[in-house]
Amino acid sequence: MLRLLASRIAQVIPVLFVMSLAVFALTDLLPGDPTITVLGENATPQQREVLRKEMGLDRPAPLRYLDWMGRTLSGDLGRSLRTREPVTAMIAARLPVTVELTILSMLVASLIGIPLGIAAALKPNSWIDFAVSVTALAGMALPFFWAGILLIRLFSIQLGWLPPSGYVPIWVDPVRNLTLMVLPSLTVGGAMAGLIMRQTRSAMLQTLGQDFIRTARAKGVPERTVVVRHGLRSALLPVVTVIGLQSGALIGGAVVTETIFSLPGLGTMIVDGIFQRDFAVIQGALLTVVLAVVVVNLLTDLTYGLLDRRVRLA
Amino acid sequence: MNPLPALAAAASEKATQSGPTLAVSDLRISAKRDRKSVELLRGVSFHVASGETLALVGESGCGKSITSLAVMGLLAPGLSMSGEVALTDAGGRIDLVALSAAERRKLCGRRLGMIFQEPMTSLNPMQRVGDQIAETLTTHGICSRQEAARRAVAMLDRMGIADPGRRALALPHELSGGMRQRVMIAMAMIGEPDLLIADEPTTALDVTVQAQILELIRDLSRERGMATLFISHDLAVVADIADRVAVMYAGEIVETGPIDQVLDAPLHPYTIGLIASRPALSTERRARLSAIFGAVPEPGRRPQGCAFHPRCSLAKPGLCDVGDVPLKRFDGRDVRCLRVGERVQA
Repeated sequence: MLRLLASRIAQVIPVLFVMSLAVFALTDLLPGDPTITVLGENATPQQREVLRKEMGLDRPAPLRYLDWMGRTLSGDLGRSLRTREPVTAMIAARLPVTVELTILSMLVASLIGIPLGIAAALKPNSWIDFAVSVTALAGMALPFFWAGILLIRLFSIQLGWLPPSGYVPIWVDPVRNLTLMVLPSLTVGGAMAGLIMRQTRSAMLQTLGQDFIRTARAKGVPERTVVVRHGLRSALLPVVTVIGLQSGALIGGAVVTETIFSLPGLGTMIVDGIFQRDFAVIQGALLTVVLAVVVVNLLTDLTYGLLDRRVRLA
Repeated sequence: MNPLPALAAAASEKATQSGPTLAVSDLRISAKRDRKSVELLRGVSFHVASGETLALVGESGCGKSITSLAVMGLLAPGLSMSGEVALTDAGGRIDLVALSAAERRKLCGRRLGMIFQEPMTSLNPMQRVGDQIAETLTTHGICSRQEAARRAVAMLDRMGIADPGRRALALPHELSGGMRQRVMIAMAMIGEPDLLIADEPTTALDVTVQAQILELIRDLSRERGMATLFISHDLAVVADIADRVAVMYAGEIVETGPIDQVLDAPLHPYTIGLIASRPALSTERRARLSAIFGAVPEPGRRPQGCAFHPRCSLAKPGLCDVGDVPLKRFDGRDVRCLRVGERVQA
């Protein structure tokens, strides 16, 4: 297991390097002038030029990259150009929101998708299979923002059961926090459930057709145990992959959901940063997203090792 | 100290008291294909007594595997089955066909044990082999988890696996093919079944390992007095292990009798062809192996009359291509051929 961990971490380093280049290049190529952010629309060209020198923006890009990378590696992501707040502090405040949204969404998606996928696989081509597949397709086809708005209309405006938007940290008021998270997690989780369901269904169908399932039945193992102990464990591998990939996509995709539900997470941080040409903020937030995606993929690989002893030995 | 001879004696006594352990009569299986019902098994009947080994022999698709799966209750959904599969022991007689799935499940692993052909895919790749063997016991609540694990190791030891305590912790892919098949056998035997079904248990193995595995199965069925249903396409293997043989063709038994008689003096033209097409060490190198011309009819395209007549050199128009051919008693065996009497006289 330790060897697996070490080799996966070694693979991660070049990925992070390339992504840091991309993040830097993207923000550098972004149209707009950061001096406007700091000095406002009415500053003179001379004032801007002085500031540019001060910020080091007159130096060539490769030098600036090395500079930035050096500071980043020592844990300093700079300060917001607008608020002068340290970017690391902003990330520390916002990361838990996005992480919570992602975890809850994947939980919702797995709790809906895996059982439905199994149900569909146990009776392939039955009405259950058909109904589940159609629902899954619909879930996948609905865009986040639209589903989110529909859910807000129904549960907040018409039924008045749940608050439409807002955020309270979980350590301040856990109940209020979870009530506020219900609609966002349903929006994202509902959309992801379809994919997980499809993956579970096909993996389960494939596994249940295998010889060792017949062997388990020949031993007189009850059908439920056959499905769960022998079938699900093998079938879960591809499902875990999808969950891992989706979690990565979710952290990146938080931009839309967080905007709809006004959650102060990384997504809204990126959006605000872009609108305000706040380079340090954009770079810091994007880099965090990249790191998070990489970590999730690493965790997925390690889960493989837990589920399948063969991977651990490899 | 050894309880096994006593067990075998008790088993053979049991057999004389209440007849065969397994009696299959008029087993018919059909599948729906393109809205038509296709008969895969056309009234198969046989019996196996305890301590006895019956081999079902035939080419792929003749219905031998489906027969074994039907006995185990492992037929794929969508197949319909009729007939009787009776399991008898001191406690009485049970018709397996009439049982519910749950009742049948209680017999699997305990009264019925099965060894499958491909030991690699038939073992769960992600479960330790010891656990897989012990599962038969824990599933039926025969003993505690610890005791089951202990017995699994003892069983591996009996299978001739060195260092069984350590091997029990291995995953299937860490074992050789022969060892995996020993694990399969241990799994089938640990519930001490009355009937062992072995579906091509040596086909996927090297010849030297084959011989060891056959010997193991033979020893076990003797020492435990089990009835064994052995399925194979390989007459050499069958000659080694079986007491009686039933040759199947196109979903029917065409000849059945004691193994020596059938192999030495086959009566049905199909059996004759099977035996002739088998290479022997004595066959001259340039001599051509004889093959049966033509191909096995697909299910649903079975010819009229005797199913074998289009491939049979002795077929007589007007006789062999009309009506059903019954199994006829002849020379101590049952043969499904209308011309069997005349040929022998001629």
